[in-house]
Amino acid sequence: MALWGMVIDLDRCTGCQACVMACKAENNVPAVGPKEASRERIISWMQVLTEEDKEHPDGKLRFLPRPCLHCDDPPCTKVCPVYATYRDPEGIVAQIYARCIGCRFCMAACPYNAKYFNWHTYQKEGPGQNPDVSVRQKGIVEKCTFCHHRLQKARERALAEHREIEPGEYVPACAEACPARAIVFGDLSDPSSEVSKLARSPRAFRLQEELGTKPKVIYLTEGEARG
Amino acid sequence: MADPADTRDAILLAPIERTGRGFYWAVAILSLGVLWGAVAYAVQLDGGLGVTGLHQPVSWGFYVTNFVFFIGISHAGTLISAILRLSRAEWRRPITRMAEVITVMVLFIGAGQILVDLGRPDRVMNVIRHGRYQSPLLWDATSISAYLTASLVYLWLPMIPDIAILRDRLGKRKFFYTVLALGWQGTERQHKVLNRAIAVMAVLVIPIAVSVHTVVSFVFSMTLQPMWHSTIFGPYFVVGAIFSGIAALIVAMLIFRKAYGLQGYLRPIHFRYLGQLLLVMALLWFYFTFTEYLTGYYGGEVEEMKVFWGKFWGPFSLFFWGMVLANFVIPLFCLVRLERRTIGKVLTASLSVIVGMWLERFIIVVPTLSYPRLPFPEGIYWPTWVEWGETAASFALFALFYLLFTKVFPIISIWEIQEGREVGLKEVEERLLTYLPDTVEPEFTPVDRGG
Amino acid sequence: MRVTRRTFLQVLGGTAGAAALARGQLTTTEQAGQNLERWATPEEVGVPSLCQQCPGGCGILVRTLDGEVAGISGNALHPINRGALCPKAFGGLQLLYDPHRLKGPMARDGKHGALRPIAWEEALRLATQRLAELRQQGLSHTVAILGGQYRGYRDTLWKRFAEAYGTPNYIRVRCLAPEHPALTHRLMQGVEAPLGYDLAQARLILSFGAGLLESWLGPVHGSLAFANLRSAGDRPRGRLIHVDPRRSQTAAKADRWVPIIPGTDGILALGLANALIRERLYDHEFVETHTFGFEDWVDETGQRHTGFKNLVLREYGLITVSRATGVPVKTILEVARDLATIKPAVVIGERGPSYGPDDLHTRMAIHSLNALVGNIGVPGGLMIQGDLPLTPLPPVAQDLAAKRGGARPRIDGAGLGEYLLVSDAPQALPERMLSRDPYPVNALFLFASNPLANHPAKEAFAKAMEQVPLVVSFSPFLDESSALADLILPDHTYLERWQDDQVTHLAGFTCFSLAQAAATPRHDTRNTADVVLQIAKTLGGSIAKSLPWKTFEALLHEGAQGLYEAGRGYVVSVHAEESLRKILERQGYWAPEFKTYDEFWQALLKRGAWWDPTSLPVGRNALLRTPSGKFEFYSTSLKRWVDEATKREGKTGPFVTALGGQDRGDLLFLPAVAISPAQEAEAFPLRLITYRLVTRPLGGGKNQPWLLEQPAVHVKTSWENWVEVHPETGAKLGISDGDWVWVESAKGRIRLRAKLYSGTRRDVVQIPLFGGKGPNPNDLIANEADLFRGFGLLNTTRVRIGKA
Ligand SMILES: Nc1nc2c(c(=O)[nH]1)N[C@H]1C(S)=C(S)[C@@H](COP(=O)(O)OP(=O)(O)OC[C@H]3O[C@@H](n4cnc5c(=O)[nH]c(N)nc54)[C@H](O)[C@@H]3O)O[C@H]1N2
Ligand SMILES: Nc1nc2c(c(=O)[nH]1)N[C@H]1C(S)=C(S)[C@@H](COP(=O)(O)OP(=O)(O)OC[C@H]3O[C@@H](n4cnc5c(=O)[nH]c(N)nc54)[C@H](O)[C@@H]3O)O[C@H]1N2
Ligand code: SF4
Ligand code: SF4
Ligand code: SF4
Ligand code: SF4
Ligand code: SF4
Ligand SMILES: [Mo]
Repeated sequence: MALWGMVIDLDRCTGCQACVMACKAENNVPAVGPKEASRERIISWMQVLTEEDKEHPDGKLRFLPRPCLHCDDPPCTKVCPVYATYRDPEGIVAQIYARCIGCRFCMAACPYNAKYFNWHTYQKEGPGQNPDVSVRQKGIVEKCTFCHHRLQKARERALAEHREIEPGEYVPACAEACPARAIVFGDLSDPSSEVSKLARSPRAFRLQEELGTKPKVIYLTEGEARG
Repeated sequence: MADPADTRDAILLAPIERTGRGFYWAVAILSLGVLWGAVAYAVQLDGGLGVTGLHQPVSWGFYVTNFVFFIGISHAGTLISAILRLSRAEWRRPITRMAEVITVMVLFIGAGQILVDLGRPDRVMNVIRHGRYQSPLLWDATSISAYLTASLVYLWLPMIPDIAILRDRLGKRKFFYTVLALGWQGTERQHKVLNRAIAVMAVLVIPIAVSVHTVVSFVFSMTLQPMWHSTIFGPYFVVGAIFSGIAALIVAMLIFRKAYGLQGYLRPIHFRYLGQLLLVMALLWFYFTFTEYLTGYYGGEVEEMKVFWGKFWGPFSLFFWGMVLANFVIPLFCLVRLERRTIGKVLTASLSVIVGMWLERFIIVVPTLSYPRLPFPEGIYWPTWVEWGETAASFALFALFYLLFTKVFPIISIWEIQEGREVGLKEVEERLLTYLPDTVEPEFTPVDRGG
Repeated sequence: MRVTRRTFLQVLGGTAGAAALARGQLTTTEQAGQNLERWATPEEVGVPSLCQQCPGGCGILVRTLDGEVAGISGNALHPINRGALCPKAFGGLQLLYDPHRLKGPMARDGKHGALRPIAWEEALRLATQRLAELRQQGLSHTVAILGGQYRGYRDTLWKRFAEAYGTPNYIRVRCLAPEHPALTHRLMQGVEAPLGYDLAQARLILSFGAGLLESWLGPVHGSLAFANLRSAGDRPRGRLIHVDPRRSQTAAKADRWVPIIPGTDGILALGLANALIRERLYDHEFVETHTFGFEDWVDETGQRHTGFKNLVLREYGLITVSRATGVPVKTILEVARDLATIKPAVVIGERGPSYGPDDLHTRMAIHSLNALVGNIGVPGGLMIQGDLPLTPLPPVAQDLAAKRGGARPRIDGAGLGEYLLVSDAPQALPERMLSRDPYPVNALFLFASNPLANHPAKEAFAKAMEQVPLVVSFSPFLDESSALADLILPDHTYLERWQDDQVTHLAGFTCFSLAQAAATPRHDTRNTADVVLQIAKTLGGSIAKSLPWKTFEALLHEGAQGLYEAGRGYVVSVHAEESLRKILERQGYWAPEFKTYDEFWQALLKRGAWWDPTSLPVGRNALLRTPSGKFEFYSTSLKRWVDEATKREGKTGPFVTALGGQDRGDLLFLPAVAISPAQEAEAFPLRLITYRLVTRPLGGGKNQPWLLEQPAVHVKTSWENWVEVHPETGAKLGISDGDWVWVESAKGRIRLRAKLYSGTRRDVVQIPLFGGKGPNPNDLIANEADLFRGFGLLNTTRVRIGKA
C-alpha cells in the first residue's frame, strides 16, 4: 500500500505562493474578503510562513510553505468526537465535511495549525470552481487533503486501463505549480521514489519532530548539505 | 417528624407561598440578560461563528472558557454536599440543598456552552450517532451526563420529604408535588430507605464529580500543545473547580440569606467554616498553580516559554496577574482572620475567587492557542458583543433558574433542619463522647438517623 | 463554432433566458435544459492557452467542462514554464468571472454624459465614422493608439493598422520589451535581435535590481532558473547575488543581498570593474581579442582617447564608489571575486523601471561587467534570440493619405530630438497633447493600457484626455481610463480569445505560443484584434487591403504556416520525444512530424506552442555585431548618433543635452556614470521606491480577490496597500507598525498604512505597485522623464512621511 508524502526543498522555495494559489483554485478555497482577512480568518490550506532570522547580518527572511503535514500519527484525528477527520490507509489525513460538528478540537490539537474553520458562509457554488471538490459550508473545519480527488481520478483511470497507478500520475496542485520545483510528491513506501530518496537526504528534517507526530511532509534545509 | 403543624420553619416556605415585587424585578432584569444571549445566539446561528471574535489560530475563546468555568462551579454542589454529608458535618444542614441546586443548574449551562460553541449545532446528534471514544470530548459528554443524572437524583432524593410538606401544605401545584413526592408519608421505613439512598448517592457522586473535571482538563492536556500538555491538569482542574464552587456557593447563600431573611439559618459560623474551606482551597490552588508553572519554566522548552512569557509579561499579563490577585492574594487577606466582619470578608473573597477562576480558565484556554509553534502572524483575540452576550446570558440564566427553583422548592432542607434539631444534637453529643479519653467505648451501633 | 452539449442545450433553452433571469426565474424549457445538463457528464477538455497576467509568456492548460472554465494549470509541454506557474496565473479565473466586467459596448452621451450600453454595430459605426472623417480631412495622423503590455500578432495588427490608416502615433507603454534588443546591447554589441541570458546554465547570477523571482521577465522562468542554480545534478550549488535597495524576495533568496542607494547601480558596477581590473581578475583573453575601448587608444585623427580601464581606475576607486553607493568596500571586493571565479557567470541589469537619471550609462556600466568576465556568447552567459520563421506578411498598402499621415512627426516625439534613440515616448504624451505640439490629438485609442492609473503624469494625462474629442477604450474592465472614455469596445479576456505570443529573451530559445478561445465568452465582448480587422474592412480601400484577414484566427493561421515550412523546430511535445529529436538534429537530421500544414496547425493548437531550441546562435560572431566585430566599451554607434545629431541640431541640441552635454567628451560614449554629491533634501528627506509583488498582476488585479488577499510574505498584509518604512526611521518619526501615515511628495500626498520592515534602507520608503485597496503611488511620482526609455523616472521621487 502506498504511503503518500511530500518533500519541500526550502533552499529552492522562493516564497512566491504559487502553491497557495494553486491550492485555492484546485480546492475551491474562497477568498474571505478584506474584513475577514483583517480578522485573521484567511483560509489557506497551503500557507507560506515567513520567519525573520534576526541573527543573520541582513536579517534573513526564510519561507516555509506549510500544507497539512499528514502526520502518520496525527494528533488531530484522535480528538475528533465524531470521526470527521481520520487517517486513511494510504496515510492521507482526511476530513468528512458532512459529518463535522465544528467543535474545532482538531484545530486546537494540530501542532502545525493546518486546519481552518469556515467562520461564515464564504462562498456558494459558482462558475470557475472545480467540480471535483465540494464547496464547504459555514461552521466546519477544512484543510489540505493532499488533493485526494486527484488520487481518486488517477486510480479510476488506472483501473479502467487495468494497470497500477504510475509514479507521477498523482500530483497535487501545489507541487504541479511550484515554479521553483521545490515540492516533490510521491510514495514514501517505495524506497526508489524521488520523495523517498529526498526524505533520506542529509538535509531532510521534519517539523517539530520531537512531538512524535511523524509528518509525511518532509523539509530540506536551506543552504548546502550540512552533512 | 415533618410535623405539618411545626411552624418554626415557616420562613423557609414563605418564598414559595408569597411573591414580592423584588422577585418580578429580579426576573425582569435577568430575563433581559437572557434575551441578550438569545438575540446573540440567533445572530450567531444565522451568520456563523464569524460573529464572534474567534479566528485563526485562536479558535476557542469565551465559550470554552465559560464551559470549563461553569462545569467547575458545578462542583460546588453535589461534591461538597456529599463530602459534608459523609463526614457528618452537622453544620451542613442548611447548606446542602443550596449547593446541590447550583450543580444541577450550572451543569445545564456549562454543557450548553459547548452547544453554543459548535459550528454546526444542528449536527450535535452526530456525537451519538458517530461518537468516537478516542476523543476526550466524548469522555466529557459521558461523564457530564453521568454527573448530571447523579446530581439530579441526589438533589431530588433529599427533597422528597420537603416536597411532601409542600404537597400537604400548599394549595397550588398539587399534582406536581404529588408526583415528585413519590408517596412520601414519613414512615420510619421510608426514612430508612431514603437515608440509605442518600448515603449511596453521596458515595457514588464523589468519583463522578472528580472524573468530570478531570476529563474536562483532558480536553486540553491530551493535546500536545504548550502549557496544556500537563500531567497535573486533572487534579489541578478539580481543585480549581471545588475552589470556584465553594465561592459560588457562598455568594448564592449570601444572596438568598439577604433576600429571604435566612439569617437565622445561615449564620456567621457557616460562613466562617466555608471561608476556612475556601482558604484551604486557595492555598491548594496556589500550590498547583505554582508547581504547574514552575515545571514549565524550569523545563524552559521554547514553545512552552512563548506561552509562559505571554502570560507573565506579554499581552495576557493583566489577566494572569489579575488571576493571581483574585485567586490568592485577596482571598488570603480576607480569610486568614475571620473573627470579625466574617460575612463581608467571605463575600469579598468569594466574589474575587469567582472572577479569578474565570480568568484562570481564560488564561488556560486562550494564550496557548495564541502562540502557535510555527511562525504565524499572532492575532489578539477580542470577543465581540455576541460572546459577551452569551456570557452575560449564561450568568443570568443561572441566576434565573436558581431564583425560579426557590419559588418552587424550599432552598433550605426543612426536614434536615428539623432532623438536626431532633436527632443531630443528641447524636453529636454521643459521638463527641466517643472521641474523648475518659469515656468507655460504647458498643458500636450504627446510628439510625431515621429513628 | 464547436457545438458542445452545452451550446446545444442553450439553444434548446432559448434566448428568452436572459430576460427570464432578469425577472429572477427560469422558463420551464430552461429548467429542463438545466436538469438535463446536470445529468449529463460534462465534456471535459483541456485547452492550451496563454497566461497574460504578466509578460512572462507562460503556457497554461485551461480545464473546461462544457465550455465552462473549471481550473487552470501549467502547460507541461510549454518550454517557458514546463507546467509551472506563478500565483498570478490562478487569478485568471477570477478575472474571467469578475462580476464587474463590462457586459458589452458602452458610449457616452456627450463629453460629460453618462456611459450607456449600445449595440456593437452602432459602436463600431461611431468609431469607424470618426476615423473615416478624420482621414478625409487629412487628419489621420491625429489619431493616437496607446498600447500596453502584449506581443505578437496583436502588435503586428495595430502596427499595420496605423501604417495603413496613416498615423505615426502607435505608441507603446513598455519599459521592458523583451522582443526588442535592449538599447545597451545595441550600442555596445551592435545586435539587432534581442539577447538572451542563459540563466539555466549559469552558476553565478549577479542581478542589479532585476526582480528575477517576482517580476522582470516572468517569475516562473526566473524561478526555474533559480531552482537550477540551487541544485542540479552533481554541479556545485550556484550563487545568486542581488543588488537592490530593498530586501525583495529575490534579495531574500539570494546568497548575498547588496543593499544600495537607489540609482547608483552604475557606480557600483564601475567599482566592481575597478576591483576586477585592479586585481587582474577579468578575462584577459576576451577583453584583448574581443573588445574595443578597454585600453587608451588613438583615433585616425591622432586624438588620444581614454580607455575604459583607465577611466575606471582613475574615477571609480573603491572608496569613492563605496561612499556613493553605500556598499562597503569589502562587499565590492568579495562580489568582484565571486564574479571572476565562479563560471559561468551572468550579469543582469535591465530593470524595467529605470535606475535613475543616468539610466543609459548605468545600464552600459552594468553590461560592461559581462564583457569583463567574458561571458558573451558562451553557455551560461549571454546568447542571442533566434528569429521566428513566421510567414512574411505582404507589405502594407499605403495610399496617399496614409503616406502623408504616416510621414508626420510623432506626437510623442519618439525618434527625434531628446527621444532620438527611443521608439516610443509615452512619457511625453500628455504634455504634448495638452500643448497640441505639433498637432492636437483628435482620437485616442487605449488598448491594454491604463494611463490614468499607471502613468506617472496621470493627472496631466487626464487633462489631455479631456481635450480629445474621441477616446476609445478596448478594456474588458471599467478601469480608471475607460471610465473617462467616450466609447468602450470591450475586448475578450485572455481566456476567451484567440491569441499568440512571441517570446522573451530570458529563455534564449525561440518560441511561438498559440491559443484558441478556452472559454465561451461570458459577455457581449469581442476580441479587439477582430474588431480592428472589422474596422479596417469597413474603412475599405488600402486599409482593408492591408488587413485582408476575415478574423484574427485567419491571420494567425497564415502567420504560423511559416513555422511549418521553416524546416526546423518543433511543436512542443513530451520531454522524451524532444530529447530524441534533439539528438537526431544534432546529427544533421530534421524529420518533419507532420505531413500537412493542417496537421501541424491542429497539433499546435492542441499542444500550445512551437519552439526551436537547437538553433540558438551562441558564439561570439552572432553576439558581436558592431562594425569592428567587437564588444565596444566605447560605443562607436552612440558616437555616430551624437555626431549626426550635433550636425543636425548643433552642440546644444536636445539629444546631446539629454545625454549629458557635449562637454563630457568621451564620457558620453563610455559607460561613465557621474557621481553626484549626495543631495540633502530637507523638505523631503526620503526616497520613494515602487516595486512589483509576485502576486500582483499587470493591470492591477483589483478584480482578483485571491491575489489581493494573499498576504505579502515580508509584511503579511493583504488587500490594502501599504508603505514600508525602516523600523529605525519609524521610531524616529514616532510611527509604529500599522499606523496610518501621510506620504507626501512635492506633487501630492496619500494616506497609507505604514509597515515597519527591516529590509528597507533608512532613507527609503517603499510602496508596492498595482492592485491593493488604497491610493495610487503615482499620485506622488514626480513627472521626470527618462529620456532613453521614453517613460517616467519612477524611483527618483523624494518624499516625507508623518503620522496621519
Ligand atoms: N508580478 C509582476 N511581474 C511583472 C509585472 C507586474 O506588474 N507584476 N510587470 C511587468 C513589467 S511591465 C515590467 S516593466 C517588469 C519590471 O520588472 P523589474 O525590473 O524586476 O521591476 P520591479 O519589480 O519594479 O523592480 C525590481 C526591483 O528593483 C528594485 N529597485 C528600485 N530602485 C532600484 C535601484 O535604483 N537600483 C536597484 N538595483 N534596484 C532598485 C526594487 O526594490 C525591486 O525589488 O515586470 C514585469 N513583470
Ligand atoms: N510608480 C510606478 N508607476 C509605474 C511603474 C513603476 O514601476 N512605478 N511601472 C510602469 C511600467 S513598467 C509599466 S509597463 C506600466 C504599465 O501600465 P499600463 O500600460 O497601464 O499597463 P497595465 O497595468 O497592464 O494596464 C492594463 C489595462 O488594460 C486593461 N486590460 C486588461 N486586460 C485586457 C485585455 O485583455 N484586453 C484589453 N484590451 N485591455 C485589457 C485593464 O483595464 C488594465 O487597466 O506602469 C508603469 N507605471
Ligand atoms: S510555489 Fe514553490 S517556491 Fe513558491 S512558495 Fe510554494 S513551495 Fe515555495
Ligand atoms: S498537520 Fe495537523 S492537521 Fe495535518 S495531520 Fe498533522 S496534526 Fe493533523
Ligand atoms: S471540528 Fe469537525 S473535524 Fe474537527 S474535531 Fe470537531 S468535528 Fe472533528
Ligand atoms: S496537496 Fe493539494 S490540498 Fe494540499 S496544499 Fe497542496 S494543493 Fe492544497
Ligand atoms: S510568470 Fe506568472 S503571471 Fe507571468 S505569465 Fe507566467 S504564470 Fe502568468
Ligand atoms: Mo513595464
